[in-house]
Amino acid sequence: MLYSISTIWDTDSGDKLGMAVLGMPQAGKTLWYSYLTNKEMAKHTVDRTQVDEFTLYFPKGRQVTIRNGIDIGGNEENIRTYYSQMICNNEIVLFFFNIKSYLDDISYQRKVNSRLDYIYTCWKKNKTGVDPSKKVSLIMSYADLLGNNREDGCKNALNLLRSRTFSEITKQYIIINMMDDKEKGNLKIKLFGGDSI
Amino acid sequence: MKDNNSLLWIQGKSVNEENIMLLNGQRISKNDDNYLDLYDKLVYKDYYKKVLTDGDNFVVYRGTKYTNKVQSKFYIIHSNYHQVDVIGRRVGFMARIENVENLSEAVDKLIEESKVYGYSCEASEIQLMKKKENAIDYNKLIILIISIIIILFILKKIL
Repeated sequence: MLYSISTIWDTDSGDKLGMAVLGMPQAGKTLWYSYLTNKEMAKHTVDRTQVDEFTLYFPKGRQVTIRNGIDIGGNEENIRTYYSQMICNNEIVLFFFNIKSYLDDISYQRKVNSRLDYIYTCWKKNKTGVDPSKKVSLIMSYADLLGNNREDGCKNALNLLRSRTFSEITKQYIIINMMDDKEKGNLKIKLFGGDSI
Repeated sequence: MKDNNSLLWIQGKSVNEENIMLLNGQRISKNDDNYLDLYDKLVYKDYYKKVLTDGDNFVVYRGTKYTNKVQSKFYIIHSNYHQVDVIGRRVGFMARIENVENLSEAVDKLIEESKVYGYSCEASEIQLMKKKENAIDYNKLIILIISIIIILFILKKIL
């Protein structure tokens, strides 16, 4: 199983959705926004880039509007500067990281764990009564670097993540190659489309 | 920040390479008590006037600072260097240059400080920033001429 993401948006509610895109540097956050908006974003987000409201269209007349947001750089300084406000102001959180580095590099793994811990703590503190397990999704990028070992890699990463205090926010995940439009398309449908893929 | 300051932050080339923070050319450690306050000075720019952007890669803000009732200009520049990181993207930087007369002077200071760490700005962006400064002066000139015409017109009416 290389993903476990349920549709997190009730397409009939008519409301607009706030999406916080967080994660490590060079993990695919800007690529995700570029894909969704069909616009080329800044090649390298330094601090933050404003993302205007946009609408995603799906079959059967379904549509989802994503509220204005910001695409932030993945640098550590931005955790304190932006994470808290982005978690509070949005309904869902997507956290991007490089799965290969997570498995191979202990320092990277610690940084990812520390950020997820921050997200979990911040959610619990500020969003009392809202279950984060269906609202936070882990986007494990660079799946292509795992070659044929995607499944094992995914399983190993999940085992490591789920041994931590923030295990509650590891229930929704996907392993993905962010350079592949078909895979990004699947994630988009899975997250917002309302239909299973 | 004291007077005559320049503040420069350069993103590391990889996740494991530490970002560089320079205050007046001196490296500030990530563990320094002032590190995050200095970072804030680079990212909180919404109150300042956006004077130049190419829409994508770089943006320049101009602010005014008062020290002992003396007014001075500063510029905040966010952009990417010519050099690239480990995945081939241009390395990002943010700079705040204080107590300068114009953007051209700020750019010169930025170039000088970046050079020490082996970074250089894109020639086309430097050209655009310097050209913009001329445009600002040109606008001031037009305002001055219009003001003079209005004053002359009023004087003529009175006299």
